[in-house]
Amino acid sequence: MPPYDEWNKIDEEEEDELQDLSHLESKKDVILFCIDCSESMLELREDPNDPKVKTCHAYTALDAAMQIQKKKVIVGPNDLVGILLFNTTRKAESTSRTQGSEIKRNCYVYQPIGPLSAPKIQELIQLLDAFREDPHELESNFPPMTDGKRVPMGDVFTSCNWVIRDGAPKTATKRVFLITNEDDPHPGAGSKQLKNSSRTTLIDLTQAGVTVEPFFISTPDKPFDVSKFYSSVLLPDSLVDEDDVDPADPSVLPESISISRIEDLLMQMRFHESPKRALFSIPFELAKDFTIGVKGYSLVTEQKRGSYKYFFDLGERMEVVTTRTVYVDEGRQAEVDRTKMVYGTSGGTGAEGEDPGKRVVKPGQRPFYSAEDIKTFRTLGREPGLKLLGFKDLSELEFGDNVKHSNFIYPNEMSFSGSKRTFSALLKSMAKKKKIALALGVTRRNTTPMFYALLPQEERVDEAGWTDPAGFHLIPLPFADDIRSAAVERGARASESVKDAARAWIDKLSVKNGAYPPDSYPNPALAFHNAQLQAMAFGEEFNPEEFEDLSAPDLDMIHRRVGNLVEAWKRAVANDEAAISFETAKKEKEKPAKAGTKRKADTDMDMDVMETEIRSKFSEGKLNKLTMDQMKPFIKSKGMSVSGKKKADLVAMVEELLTS
Amino acid sequence: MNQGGYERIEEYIPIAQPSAGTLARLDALEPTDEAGDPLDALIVAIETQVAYLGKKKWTRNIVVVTDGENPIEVKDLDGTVSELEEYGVNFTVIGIDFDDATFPSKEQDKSPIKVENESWYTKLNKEDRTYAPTAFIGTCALALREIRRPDIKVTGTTLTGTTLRLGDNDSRPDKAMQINIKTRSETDSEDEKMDVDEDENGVPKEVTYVQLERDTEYYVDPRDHNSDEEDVKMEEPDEDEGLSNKVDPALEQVDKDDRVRGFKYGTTYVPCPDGRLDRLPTKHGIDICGFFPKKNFRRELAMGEVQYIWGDPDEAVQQVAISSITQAMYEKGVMAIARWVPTDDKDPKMGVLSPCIGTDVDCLLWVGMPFADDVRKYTFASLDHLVSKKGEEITEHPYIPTENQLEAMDNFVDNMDLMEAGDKDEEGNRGPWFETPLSYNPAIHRIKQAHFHALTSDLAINPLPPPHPELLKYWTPPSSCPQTITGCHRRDGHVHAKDDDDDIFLLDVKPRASRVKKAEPASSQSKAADETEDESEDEAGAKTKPTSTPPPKNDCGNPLPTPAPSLSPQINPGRAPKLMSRAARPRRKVELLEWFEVLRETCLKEDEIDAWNTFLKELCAKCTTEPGNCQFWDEVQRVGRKLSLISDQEA
Repeated sequence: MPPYDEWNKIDEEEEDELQDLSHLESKKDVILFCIDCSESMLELREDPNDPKVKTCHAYTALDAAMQIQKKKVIVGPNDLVGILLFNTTRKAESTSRTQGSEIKRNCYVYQPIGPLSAPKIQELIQLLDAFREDPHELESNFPPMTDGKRVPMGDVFTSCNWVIRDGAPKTATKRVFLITNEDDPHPGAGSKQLKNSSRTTLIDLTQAGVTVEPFFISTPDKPFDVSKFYSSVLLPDSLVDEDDVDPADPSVLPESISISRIEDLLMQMRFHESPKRALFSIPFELAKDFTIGVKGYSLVTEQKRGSYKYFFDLGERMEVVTTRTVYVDEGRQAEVDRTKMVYGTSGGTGAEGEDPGKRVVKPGQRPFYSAEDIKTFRTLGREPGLKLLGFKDLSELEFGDNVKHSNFIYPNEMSFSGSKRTFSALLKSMAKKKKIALALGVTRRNTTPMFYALLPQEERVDEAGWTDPAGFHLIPLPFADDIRSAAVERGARASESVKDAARAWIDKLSVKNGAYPPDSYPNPALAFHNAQLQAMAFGEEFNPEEFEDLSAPDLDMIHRRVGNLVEAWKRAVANDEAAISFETAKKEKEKPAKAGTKRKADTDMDMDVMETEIRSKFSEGKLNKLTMDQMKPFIKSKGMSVSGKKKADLVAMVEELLTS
Repeated sequence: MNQGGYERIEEYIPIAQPSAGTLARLDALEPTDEAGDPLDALIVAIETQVAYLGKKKWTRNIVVVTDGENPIEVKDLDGTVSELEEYGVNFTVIGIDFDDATFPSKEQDKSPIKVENESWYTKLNKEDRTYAPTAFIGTCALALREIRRPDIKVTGTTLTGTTLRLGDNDSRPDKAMQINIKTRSETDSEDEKMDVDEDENGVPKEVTYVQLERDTEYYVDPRDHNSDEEDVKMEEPDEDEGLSNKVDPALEQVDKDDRVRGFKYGTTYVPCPDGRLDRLPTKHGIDICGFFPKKNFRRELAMGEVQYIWGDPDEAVQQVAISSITQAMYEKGVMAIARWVPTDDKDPKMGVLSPCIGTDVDCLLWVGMPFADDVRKYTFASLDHLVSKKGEEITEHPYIPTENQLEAMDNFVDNMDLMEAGDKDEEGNRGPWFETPLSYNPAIHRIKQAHFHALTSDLAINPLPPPHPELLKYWTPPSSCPQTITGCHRRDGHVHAKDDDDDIFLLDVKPRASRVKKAEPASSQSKAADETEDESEDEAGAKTKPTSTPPPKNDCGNPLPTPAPSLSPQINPGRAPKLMSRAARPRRKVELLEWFEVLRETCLKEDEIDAWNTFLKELCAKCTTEPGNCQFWDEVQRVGRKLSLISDQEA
């Protein structure tokens, strides 16, 4: 049986039971970096980033592996990683049978597959640092096979198979990142046989549930031609995930990644770093009796800072404490069987003599609902699936209609054949007509049906070589219950001239063909946290001064470009007639009501004048002479709250504002 | 029974949040033989409310529920009305068995006193508003109908003050911008709740349900993680977790206080007794980073709820500042990239600001956008570019739609357009179907309904009624939007691709727009069937169906009599639904199919072509629309020619 069937099955089972995404995190991911250590991979070359040091392909590959490990240790602390080198004459030291001790000749397990830890990553960092000191470090550690000899690729795949068999849990997603620059490992005599054995062993590997993701290094002096060897060896699923395997259709060549600039290796690996896992696989009903299959993926998910865990000291190690919630009948001091629980409104009937926590009824009466009832209330009996309701203009998808992140759907040929072309035709038609689709959907069992807008995305390749895949973005729409009314319905509006003054600086800060660039903004809070965590794990000092927040606005650039324009705009705002008349009108209106009350400080008072006065009192050390009504607007103008503050507090706040 | 000197008036349930107990008390309410005066009751109600609320500025409602059968002494009405006015009370009268003005109906056999009283109450609601300024009069039936409708809870999310900044306000304030703003969420996910869990505790004479308390227990796994045991554990399905009370026996329970806080770095333990590392120092406010054209906004990246941003409502200058930026952005067609820190030292968020020009106020809308860490880049196989083993581009493949298929899909998309499928506006123009402000979260309202129902009913004899239709109104496409997709072939629950040389594409789409009759007789059976379905579906909506037809067969399970030639005139479309319901029974199906074949033959011979064709179309429509019987229609199609439409040539 092909392995993907098993995977699909696991997927289904989990879908039944779990409602959140935690199963994705709980499923372990195993990556075995399989790095070619041939002479050409070890050949020293200039480092384009730093002319003082040398580099080589193998170094870049190991460095990329280290970077991936550093990321994985934070994002997927339970994931397993290993490194296997091939085309090296180094042999395993240990004679006892451990992982990687019994593999094919000229393959060497540098890091056995295992959980990540600080020492494991540090070991690799030390190796990389040693190479930077002495460029022969890698060659002496892992001597390459000489005289153009190469290990048969079949042996490499078999070794990978054995290492993964010994080191990886059965249910994990297992992948081999194959990194090589040799497009024709077996030229000349016997090539056909070696090709065949490569393919056979690769099939074995695939059947063990392992995906091979090749990263081919192609340079101007050594271009990589996939058709020489790999196109007849690689299986169609080597780059796409389990849902796209179509063994019956060998006519389609798998895509493979050729890296023309070795510096891009890390970036390409990052694209493939997290295994592609479908969140859901559901039918999509376009009309009655007209259904296709789709799989949903989460392309945007908030990556949260890991929270602390509770540990228990077991002596030899610290172990994470797991929690379990139990429901207790206080009266009997006993834990309650969950299957016997029923659900309803809290509190009793309030009838005389009744305990508010209890409810007494006659036998046979049923005042509460069962867990099953509650489920149907939530789903109204709908099974997972998408149902098309119709099409609307793209402009109907409003900016404000957003509650949470979208998912991405892609056809699933395995559940309904013909899904791909139907999906493709629908996508093209909607993109052409600038339409969105409206659908009712339940993506996971026991969740509430929601309305979704389906936003078509056509395939598009960007400059960086990244391809926007073809598919639909499934955007959840808010329910009426989620929409809040505007609290402010009236406000003073700017005159034409003030708007023009704002336009002047907006023009200067606009990027002509720009867009929001997610890649430019690594989450600073997350990075700050992770940097501290890494330093603590490595036993290093963390220096917050060195931390750079890449999301902070470039203040110098802003001032250079628009400082004067902003100043002019501020003057225009202060003199805006609408503001003045609106304020006067408001006062007129409020007069009768406010008659007799203490006059408030004039909030219209020019901020500059006010600030000057406060600053002068401050420099004289006479802040106490100011009234609260004088200080309040100033503090407020700095964006701080003054409510409930006493005068002494206000003075302290002003002092702080002026000294900082 | 006398409250404040008013006879037969009593404060029965003090003002408080309603509970199950409130309903129980109401249920136990017993009327007196003598009547109290409704106006007296109103005065007591106003006083009770005033006493309870004091000077609080809450919304005040008073509802009078009456059948109007008792005399009212109309005295000092003006004083009462002015009190209602003074406190801004929303005054509602719910009349039992009153005439319904909104849903015109008149109740019969009313007593003279009821007629008199009803007209007096109704006067309260006259347009001139002589009496109560905010009175609303309605019938009890109307009130009961309205109360079942899904009702949106109006939540006043509070305004939060912060600042919108541009540039460096600390050291270069002259040339930097700082505006005081108020923010509030525009969308805010509501969750459904069902509060409490109860335990059934069987006691013979009566059953006690006890409200449960939640408790947490702590466990550690003392086993070595690298042992084989762990592998085994991982493969165990966690199906029962959450339902059963089973605990893995290998786990050891530990005391809450023996736990130590820390972080995991892979398998490395990083102690951290405070439970938090240093946070990135930040200053609250929204910083503008730059602007980009609106057309380049990627809607699918929006992450969370939407927030309004207004200039401080108390400061006109701040409002003008926001207004000028909003208008300039709107005019230029740009959005701003911005960084929001909710309060000092909180994690910053990135997002975009979009201008929003309202009727009387300009504001900005914020939505969060992903950080680099939040975006996953998965590769997907191309849907268009398939490359053969030889490295050549493949243009014809079962994955690639053909021209015909593309055209059919275009027609399908046009047919299912919702832009003019909504309700008519005042001028009679149809707007788009589906509006978010009218789409209710079914779970919230269904659970609310369930709560109310369980409080007043015994579920054993009176189960929860179906959900309010308003909850489900967007669950099926509007009737004006024909789903004319036919011709897909279902077998074993799957849609199968046909052979490529068949030249009929899979998931055949036959839209109304392309319903041009083919000149030549249908060359293949399925094509004929497609046409049949197509036309009949369109007609099904327009036709009114005759109601009765003589049964074509006896109902005792005996074989059907062979139809006599004279049967054909009886064929009329009205028979289809009845036949259909019979077809639901498997053993009848075969009989029916056979009978249909004979019928067709008869019609052909008797020159009743039209009768047969109409009958078949009607049957198809019946089968393929709700509640329908698609399976049966498939069977009919499978018979093929013998049960197809009779073409002119054949005739």
